[in-house]
Amino acid sequence: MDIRWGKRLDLLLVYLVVVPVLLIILFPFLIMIFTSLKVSNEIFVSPPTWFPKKPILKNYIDIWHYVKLANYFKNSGIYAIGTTVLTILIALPASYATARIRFRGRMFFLFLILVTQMFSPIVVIISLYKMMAFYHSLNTYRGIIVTYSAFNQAFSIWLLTGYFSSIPKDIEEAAMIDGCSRFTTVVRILIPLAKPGIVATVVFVFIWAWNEFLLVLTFISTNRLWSLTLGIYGFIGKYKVLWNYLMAVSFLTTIPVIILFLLIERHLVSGLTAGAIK
Amino acid sequence: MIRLRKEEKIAYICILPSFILISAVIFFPVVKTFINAFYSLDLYGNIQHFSGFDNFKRLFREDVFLRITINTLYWTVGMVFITVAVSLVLALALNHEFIGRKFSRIILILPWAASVMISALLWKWLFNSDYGMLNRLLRELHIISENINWLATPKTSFPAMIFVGVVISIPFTTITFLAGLQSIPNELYEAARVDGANKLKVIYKITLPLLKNVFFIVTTLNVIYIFNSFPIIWVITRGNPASQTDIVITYLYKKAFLYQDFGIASALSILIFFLLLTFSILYAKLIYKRGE
Repeated sequence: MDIRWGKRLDLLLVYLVVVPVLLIILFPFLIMIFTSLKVSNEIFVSPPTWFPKKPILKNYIDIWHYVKLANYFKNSGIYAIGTTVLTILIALPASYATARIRFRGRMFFLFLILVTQMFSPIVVIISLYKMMAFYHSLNTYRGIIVTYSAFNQAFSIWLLTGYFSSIPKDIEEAAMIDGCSRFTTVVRILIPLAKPGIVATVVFVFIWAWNEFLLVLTFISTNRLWSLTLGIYGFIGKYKVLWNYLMAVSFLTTIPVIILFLLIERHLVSGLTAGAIK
Repeated sequence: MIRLRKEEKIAYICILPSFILISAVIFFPVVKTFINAFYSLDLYGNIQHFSGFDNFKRLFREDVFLRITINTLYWTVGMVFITVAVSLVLALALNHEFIGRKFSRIILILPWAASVMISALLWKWLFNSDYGMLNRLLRELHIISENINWLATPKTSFPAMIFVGVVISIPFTTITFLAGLQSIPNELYEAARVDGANKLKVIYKITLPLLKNVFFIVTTLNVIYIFNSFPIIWVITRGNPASQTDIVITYLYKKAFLYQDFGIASALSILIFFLLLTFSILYAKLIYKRGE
């Protein structure tokens, strides 16, 4: 009897902590959805209405004409996919080497990588801007993709190295004794085994690039190349902010990445804490 | 010995692309910024002549320098402290079995998955004095009787932005704490229970000491992430009015790309560089202590 009461009290405490925090987190996202369903007139009503009087989906159609939304989606897609491909192509061999080969300077390389994880892009943004201008890379896809890839090396290499290290060496050694080359062994055996880690890295890098704001704000000025984040930011520069449109665009931008994120969330911690916490 | 050399060669070829990319995009610009900080620069950021510590002196003489330093301190310490405290309690709660636990994890993820820029924008809309939902909610809860213009003065806008930062930082911190909690072996708890320790004592004597490492790691990481929280301020107040809500990173950005004073901006970059370097070394030590 005593224990049961104790358990109920525990549960009560748990709900008392969890419910308020989660409500605060959920609040802006709920309002985002409600606002996106309101007609323009209902946006500027004081006090504001909780729910749309007559919910409409029309905003979700209108926004495609109001801003160049399709173009923003395309650009964000190019930045994010380009970054993901380049990051993985470069991080995979590096992770393989740090996980499987004892070479001189290995710890130093890992340290360098760790330091870059700690670097806010803001520290290098001025020189980077000058460099981009020098190489005619401002307002280009390649400028953004290369920069993004560099800032994603740290996380990717830590996560992938952790994954490779967790796979027993025996299988590869057996394959190599059987006459497979190192390259074939990696491609045919190691990479398929590390698939969950690679998928997690791919998704994380994709989301990171999709959501990025500071670098794209600095290096992209032509509207034609704007990403979704820039497109959304562009709303608040306008004379009158149409929040219902803005919220509809935000919803469309956010939902896909939230779904993707849920798929990989479990794998993230060890990569982001450089393997210190599994 | 010869075999090892061959292996090493392969290793160096494997890490080379990554090394070049990082050097070109991150290390080279750091060195360049270092050099620039000691030169007088024109409006386009081109080097004019060596000027010693002039840029730094000009930076320290800026009217708002003290304000920005204090703001940055508040921003970092305040946000890290609240985030870590709330996340720790939340993680302890989420470590229990309860109905809706899976669902609550999904909600918890939202601000982490969404773009910081969009989160900031959502809150900016909520903070709107006449049309924003926050005032309406607080009035219905009878916490306030009149609309507050949250973003009108630094007194309310700055804490409001710290609040937004906390909400955005909670997911990663909580999930990391949870991972730490789940790595504590169950036997320890059972042993304590057999010994008759009560709940609070178990938390105090077993859970918290074992979380020490996780605690230091999330704290350091959060400090660094907060230096990446540029969009929060840029979207909500833009550091206005008159830099009263700027922190070093937004001020740096303004100096460089609005006022084109690349000298001061470079000097400020160097200061931030050393600050972050201190934290990264601290962090590296924490990671390596785990015995690589």
